[in-house]
Amino acid sequence: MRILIILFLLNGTLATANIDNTNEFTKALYSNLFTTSKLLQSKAQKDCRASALKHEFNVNFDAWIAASVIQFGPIQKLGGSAIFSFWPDKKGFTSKKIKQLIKTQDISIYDSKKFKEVSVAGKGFMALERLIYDDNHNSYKKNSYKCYLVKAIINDITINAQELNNDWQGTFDKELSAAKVNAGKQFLNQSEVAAAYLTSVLSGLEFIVRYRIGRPLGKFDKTRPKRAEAWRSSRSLRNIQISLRTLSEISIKLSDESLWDTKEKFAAAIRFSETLTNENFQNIDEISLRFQLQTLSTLVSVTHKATSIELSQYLGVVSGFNALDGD
Amino acid sequence: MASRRNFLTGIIASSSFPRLSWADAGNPKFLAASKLPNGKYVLCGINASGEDVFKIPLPGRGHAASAHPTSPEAVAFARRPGRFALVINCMNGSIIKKLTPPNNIHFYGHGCYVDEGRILITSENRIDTGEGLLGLWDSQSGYKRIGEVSSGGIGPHEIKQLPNGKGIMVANGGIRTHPDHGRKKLNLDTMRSNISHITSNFSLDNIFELPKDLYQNSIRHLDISDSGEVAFGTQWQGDPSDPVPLVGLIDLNRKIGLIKLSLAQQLELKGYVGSIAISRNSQAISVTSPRGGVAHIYEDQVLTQKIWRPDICGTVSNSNSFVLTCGSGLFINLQLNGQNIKIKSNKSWDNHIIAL
Repeated sequence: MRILIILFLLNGTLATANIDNTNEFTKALYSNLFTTSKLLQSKAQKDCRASALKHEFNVNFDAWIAASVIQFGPIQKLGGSAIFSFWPDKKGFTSKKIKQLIKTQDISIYDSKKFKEVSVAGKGFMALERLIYDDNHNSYKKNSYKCYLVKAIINDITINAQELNNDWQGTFDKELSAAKVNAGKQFLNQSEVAAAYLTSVLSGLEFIVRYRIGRPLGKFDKTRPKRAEAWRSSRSLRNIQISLRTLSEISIKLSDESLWDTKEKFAAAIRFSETLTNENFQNIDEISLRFQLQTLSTLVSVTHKATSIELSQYLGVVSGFNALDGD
Repeated sequence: MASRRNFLTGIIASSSFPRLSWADAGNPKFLAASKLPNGKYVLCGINASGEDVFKIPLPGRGHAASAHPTSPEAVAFARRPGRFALVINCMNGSIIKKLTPPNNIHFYGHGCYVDEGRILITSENRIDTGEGLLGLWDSQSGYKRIGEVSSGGIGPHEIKQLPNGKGIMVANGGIRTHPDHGRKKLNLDTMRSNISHITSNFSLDNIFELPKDLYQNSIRHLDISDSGEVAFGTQWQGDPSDPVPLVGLIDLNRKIGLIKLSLAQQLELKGYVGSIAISRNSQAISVTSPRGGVAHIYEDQVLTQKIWRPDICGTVSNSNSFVLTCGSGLFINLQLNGQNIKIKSNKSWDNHIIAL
């Protein structure tokens, strides 16, 4: 399955109300990301130790996984999803960057503007997870360098979440309004906004299959449990479930609940994911878990197929002319 | 397909071309293939404002075009693996010649005129061995094929001429394909891409390769400034989630290097550069990624501007700035101060745009 599909519109007739509803849903996702970031930031100001932060960390990470399915607009301007979550990380950049920051006692952590320039490998939820859950790191004390590093990462997440939220509620909201009257800058018209949503839904489903399930599954004779997303915080399954639920909501709002096949396929994949019990895929060598993940992968692929047909037709879009040409 | 009458008319017209110029074809500034809303494919001559000055029907989807430097004739290449290219009279749309490579050879989508337009060079693949070739065609004798030479690698794609008669640079993508398998990549585990310098005598002078750990970085597209600096863009054949450098330069000391980007900036291009252009004065580079829906503009090798547009792909230097085109029909006249001029059309601009 191709990871990225860019789309453009032909002659689709769009229900403006559907796009408006989807925009409101997206704004709520970013609002929640900012709110939960502030809660984590507030907690870290009081107590930066790993054990004190786990609850707020997970609530905030939940909000990011939901918001991360939207891959256009302010997140592009900010520099992409990697600023919040640098994963997959096949070459272990996060581990190296954290070690380097700690070893050199890099002073950029004491200045939010300087920390903004730090590589994405050393910030966001994956770096934070490493510090809070990895036994090599998580016993740090108050006022230690790692404590200030944790605060710097959380502060950076909050600043970025605020920027995204402000943009979605303000400047980008105006851009979306301009697109309604064919006067947008990034999106020339409403159809292109719909296409961007559809691209996000299809890319999100592909990401689950290819990376969130595909990486730990590895090859038949060699599974890769340590390649699962956020396995240290036991969020590998949870991230899939949140992502599926959010993608389902978006596709329903885009189509005004009229696409039965898409809706049913999403529901089947979500239902099956809720029957899985291994949260971090570390027992993936067990045939039963392996079989379950393969089944989930199939169900998500089937959902992708249904969505790419039904929702594309509903919105009147076709696959990208150049993006898929491959030359 | 060209009728016999068209063909003969073309030959006669061709023989009279030295007296004609691009001004006789409406003075287009750019050429690009596109798809019209009715599903038909055309080659468009475009003025500086992004408006069509001519539209010539094509029999199928094109990939890139090459323009004769003085006479109003252009070669439209089919998408690879193509078995034909059309030499078109841009004054009346007639087919001057349908170029067909010898048996066991197919085109790879790009070409380049050299020697003041006397010779057309086409990128080609020898099917049985996978050897990259450059086909040579004499434009003054009705595009008679006059031979072929090695491209210096596997899978040659874009070719550009160096200034001052110093030959050409060829992007050898390194990927072997066979027409029986369409575009299937047959050697991803062992591939090695390069840029070759071929002299004006068509002999291989030098080969530029990327470091070994980037062996799956396929150099597909390149552009050359007035002074001879070469900018190139790659397509990563490894895992798309790998952040790898995709844009580089061969400087005037003939040293190859890659432009440094942050991990996040590298990921924006989604492992895929669709087209690249370097400004005439060498100071700016424009890079498109239709998969990322973004174009990067670098000034003195520093990323200074991003243009987020769905399906953005074509780019060409426009003096010291750039023009960019999108599958959604947008034609962007880029200004380095960020005040870009956008012209919307209802056609889908194809992969590449070239300047005259």
